[in-house]
Amino acid sequence: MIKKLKDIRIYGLIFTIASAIFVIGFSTAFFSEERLMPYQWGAGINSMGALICAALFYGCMRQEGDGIRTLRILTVLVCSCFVVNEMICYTVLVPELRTLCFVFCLLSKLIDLAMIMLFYLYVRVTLGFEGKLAKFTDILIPILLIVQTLVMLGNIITPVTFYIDAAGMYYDTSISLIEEVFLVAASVLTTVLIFMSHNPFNQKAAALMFIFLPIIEYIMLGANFGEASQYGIVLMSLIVMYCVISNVKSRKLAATETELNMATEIQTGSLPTVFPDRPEFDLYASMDPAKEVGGDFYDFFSIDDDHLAIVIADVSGKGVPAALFMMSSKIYINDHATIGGSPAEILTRVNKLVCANNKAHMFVTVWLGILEISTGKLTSASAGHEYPMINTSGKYEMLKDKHGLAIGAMEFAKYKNTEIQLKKGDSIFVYTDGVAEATDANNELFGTERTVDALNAVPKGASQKEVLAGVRAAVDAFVKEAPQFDDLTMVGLKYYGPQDNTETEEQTE
Amino acid sequence: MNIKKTQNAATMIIALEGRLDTTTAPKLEAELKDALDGVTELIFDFEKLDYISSAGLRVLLSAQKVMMKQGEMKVIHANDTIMEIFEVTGFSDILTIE
Repeated sequence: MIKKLKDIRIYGLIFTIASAIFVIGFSTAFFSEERLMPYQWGAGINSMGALICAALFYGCMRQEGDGIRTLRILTVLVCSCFVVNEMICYTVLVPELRTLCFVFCLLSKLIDLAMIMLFYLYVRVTLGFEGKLAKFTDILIPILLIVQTLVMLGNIITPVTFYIDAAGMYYDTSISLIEEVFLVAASVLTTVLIFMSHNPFNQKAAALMFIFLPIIEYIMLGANFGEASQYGIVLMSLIVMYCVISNVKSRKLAATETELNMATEIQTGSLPTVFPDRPEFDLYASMDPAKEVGGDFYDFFSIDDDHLAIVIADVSGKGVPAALFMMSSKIYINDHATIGGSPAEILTRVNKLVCANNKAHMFVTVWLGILEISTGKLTSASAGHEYPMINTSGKYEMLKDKHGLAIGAMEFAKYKNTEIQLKKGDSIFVYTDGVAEATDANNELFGTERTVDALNAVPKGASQKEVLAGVRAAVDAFVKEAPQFDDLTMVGLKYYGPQDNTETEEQTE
Repeated sequence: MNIKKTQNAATMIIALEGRLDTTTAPKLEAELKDALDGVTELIFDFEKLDYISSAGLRVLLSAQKVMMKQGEMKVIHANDTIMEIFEVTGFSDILTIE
């Protein structure tokens, strides 16, 4: 709460709400005093306006972006206009309060000037004015503002544009029109700049409303400036501008979402889904991404006729950075596995490459296995990846293989090969932390033990596709309603032993 | 997740409580950013930390890389779950764990 209070926005909110309460409370006086009866209508508008200001301020309080700060200040200023207006109505025509009335009138005129200036700044930022005229206006408008402010303040010394007579009545002087110099100059220049800017029609129209609605109203009311409803019109145009902005914003947001969905699609699409149909082994893999685009991947490809490479990996973090990192690591591993060498050698080379350009300090855990199809020898190396589950005795168990550091973490990381001999009917299951670290509503982890149990619960003779589905079902039953935080990726391989493939060899020779 | 940062001259102790995962790691990263200037000893107290994900490991790795240039960094009181994660990911090789 203390941290919140330090935020300047909270003062704005308190101010607008307090103003609204004040104006409403004050308005009640207008119904009891005969002198104030004619202003009832204005008091109503003031109350309503201050309330809307508070609501509008709250609406754009948490928004970020170009010009939103200016819009917030504008809202506060309009809100203070309602308070000042109310006070003018209350003090006018009361001889003993004429000094107070003068102060409020002056305040009202100064706030008007500030609003015009802020409006210029606001459209300047949101619509992006360019060119010579904009540069000229940038200098001219502040100069005019200073001159105009000095003229207004001059009223304190001698009646320049207005005065309050002994009876407390407000009078314009014969040169009161110079009050409008700044307004007219700023309006004309801003209008021209708005027309010249390259913006969608709705944005231009919304911005122009701020200038023209009060003028139109001014004419309709028979040139009676200072009417309370004038600020109502200003407020209305503010709301329109706010709506147009948030409309444009949400459209931009929707576009980003579409792009993110596309990133997920591209990423999922880069994973092979056609599994090799060979009599020597059964291979299946799956990846269920969490809601956000993530960094898991699996891969498999033939290095030559007798060697099949299997990769499973998990990039640290989520989102587009993880997806980009995942794509490049996948390609590096594929490239270097095809060049040759043992899994440990391949991972060492890939690690050096990844580390060389890793400013974001991202890393990826990788398990890379190469199966010699004719003998069943599986050589693997792990760069900080989860322990594989192997089944060489009729039951799955965790294989504590030799571990190296995750790829991308440190340049000097070393990797070691682990060799296992697969016999006919043996299988191996590799996965990412989305499986073992799936979490239920009580923050309990699924864990490796439950993973082993789930694997062993699958009936013998089931296909790898069914094995993976069995694990997935066990994870789902465990986490129940808790949302899936991480990608869930699995690869299963079952070895059927060497086949009589003399025929195919002859064909290739 | 709660972060408690105490600094005594060039020694900074960061005690974490809860889970350091994708949602909370950015908070720690922001906390560490620019805070390590002039620190020669950085200690992570994981006594009350239940879990660390790869996103959390990444923040540790970044801190480790900074500290390698200017001093030392160690992790103390890590629980079994976290120790296992350090072992599996190979981070136990590069971190000083006590």
